[in-house]
Amino acid sequence: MSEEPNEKPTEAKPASAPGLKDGRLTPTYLVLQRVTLTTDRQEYEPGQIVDLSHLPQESIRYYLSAGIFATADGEPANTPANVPQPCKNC
Amino acid sequence: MALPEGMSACSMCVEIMTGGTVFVDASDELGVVTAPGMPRSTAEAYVFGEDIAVLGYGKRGPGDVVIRGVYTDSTASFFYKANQAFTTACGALFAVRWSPGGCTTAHRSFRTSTTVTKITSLTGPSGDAGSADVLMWEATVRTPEVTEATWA
Repeated sequence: MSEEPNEKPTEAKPASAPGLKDGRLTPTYLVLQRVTLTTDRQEYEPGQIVDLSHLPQESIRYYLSAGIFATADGEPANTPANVPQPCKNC
Repeated sequence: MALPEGMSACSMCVEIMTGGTVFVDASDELGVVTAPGMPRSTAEAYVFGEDIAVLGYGKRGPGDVVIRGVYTDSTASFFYKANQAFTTACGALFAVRWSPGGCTTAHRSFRTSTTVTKITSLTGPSGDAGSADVLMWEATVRTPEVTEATWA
């Protein structure tokens, strides 16, 4: 004897994140624990916003799960690593 | 219970900050970093009714980080920079940051203060005609604390 399911199982929806583009999370994050960025070797304190566009998504997920960063919008304190710098003397 | 994966100093990265605000990788010249044993001041008193001490705990004390490097004659060497920082009147900033797993993402770093750390002892290269030892130099820097961070 089989029972018909009353309703279809709901499909899991991916967690929405602000600024989602091409599967990427927003590149700015709130620092929860002191970090040193490999891009500029500078330290950033808890409470600061940083741009992590230099990191792959797997790394960002690790940091989020480890409680080192949280998603946040805002002006980053660091210079994004993948943004071309203005040329000098031109 | 799984054993932890042990770490050696094979991938360690050491950086130096002299004067400015940026740490510079010194791993190609430095070969030894000795982290300080950071103390906390304590005091004790005794009472007649017990055979053990009553303890009081105070502030955290400073510690000494010792670094050793390969000596070269170059004015771009870290010994030259250390000597300049040491011989500046009253001493100049000479901060150290070391990362046991390397200066790459997900590893941890430890550093001295970046505002008040100075060299308190500097030993230059010494020679022995009967030895083939690589000439080394050594510096001791004093810091009020060691700060930890994660590379990202």
